[in-house]
Amino acid sequence: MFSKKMMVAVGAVVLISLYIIVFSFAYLRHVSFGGAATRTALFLASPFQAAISSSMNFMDDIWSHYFFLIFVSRENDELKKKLAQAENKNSQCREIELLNLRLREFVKLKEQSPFHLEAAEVIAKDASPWYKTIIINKGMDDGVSDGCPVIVSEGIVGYVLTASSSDSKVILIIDRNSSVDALVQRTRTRGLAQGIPKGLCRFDYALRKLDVKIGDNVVSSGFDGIYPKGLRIGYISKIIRRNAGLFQDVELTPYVDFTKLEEVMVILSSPLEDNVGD
Amino acid sequence: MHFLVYFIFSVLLLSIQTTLLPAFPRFFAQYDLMIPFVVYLTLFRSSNGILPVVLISGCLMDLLSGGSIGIYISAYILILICFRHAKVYFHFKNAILFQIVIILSVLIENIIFALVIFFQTFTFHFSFYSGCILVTQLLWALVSSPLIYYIFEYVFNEVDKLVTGGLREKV
Repeated sequence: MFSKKMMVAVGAVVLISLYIIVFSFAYLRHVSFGGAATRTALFLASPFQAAISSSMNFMDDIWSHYFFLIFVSRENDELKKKLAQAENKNSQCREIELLNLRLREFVKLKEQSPFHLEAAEVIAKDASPWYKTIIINKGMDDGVSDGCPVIVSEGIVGYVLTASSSDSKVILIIDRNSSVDALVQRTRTRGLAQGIPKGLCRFDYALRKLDVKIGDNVVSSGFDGIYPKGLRIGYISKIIRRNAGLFQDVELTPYVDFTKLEEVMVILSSPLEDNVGD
Repeated sequence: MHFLVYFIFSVLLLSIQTTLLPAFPRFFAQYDLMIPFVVYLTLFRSSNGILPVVLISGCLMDLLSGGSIGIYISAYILILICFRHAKVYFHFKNAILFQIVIILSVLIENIIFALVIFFQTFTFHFSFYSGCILVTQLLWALVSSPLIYYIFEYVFNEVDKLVTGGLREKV
């Protein structure tokens, strides 16, 4: 009754219509039989999926934490090397940063100071604990001569004891053979700042009747012919006033930390000398 | 040749104690390393070339230090004289002898320093700080001298091998 071609065409139309109907009502899956079927499927399949998945994780874990350890170990070695290099570089950077800070202070000091200053590096210190001297890497070739005062931004360091062509020996103000004519900034009380072995100074010849207090700032008086006037020396840290005697015992703590001296400034000439030269 | 080696060694020691040791806290830097060197030369090496080395070492130390000129030379010469003669009575060679002599030498050097300071100021001021320095120096001498002895032994044996082809320098 129907030809074969006719049957195929009708079948195709019915199939397409069925597809259209099914896709048009796809949202029904969420609320009807489709949703329940999915839940059932999930319920049935999920234990197996979880088992397989955890097995795979287990295998992956074994691979990455055991078999792969050999590679991790190598990688660890490499990373350790890189870390050491980075730490080294970090330390160098830190060192440069600190040097930069110190040099900035020096530049500031050089700009503000009325004197001709020459920066120098401390290359050695006295071998004996009884004497306090340092060797700096600037000498007569750089204009440094015997008796030149040596300072840092905190205050007086000492003066050049002997200058060679390229290096100089500097006696520090805390050496027992060093003394600076000084005065208390607040009261203008004069005295002599003399080095004592424990790395401090004694403020000698300060009359007992004169007003000196702990914490007073002490500066150079300029009368000793070495240090220009007004350079900071230290502060008064201890006073003993005895019942008898002309003078009081005064101890002076220098502003400069002599254990950490790395760079210093040498005063080559004072403005006064320049004027004389002119 | 030995003289040259001694000279280089003394310059090396001097450089170490003026540049490297001051970088450590003062507690570790109290000790004049030239003393063990002078004592070792005095006790365990032949007399050839020792006196010039001791004089040059002392002179270098004097020039680089802030102390009076001649203070180190005097100390080293005195150590040399004292123990060169004392050596006759000791017929053994070991680290203990070296240790005792080092301690005595440190004492000698400090006595010379104290005398020089006394003659400069004509006041004898022995503070707690000075006492600490002296005690620390003696302790370091006690502790470090055996190690220094073995280092010197090794170094100078190697030097002998190099210079004399394995024969030890005759004391």
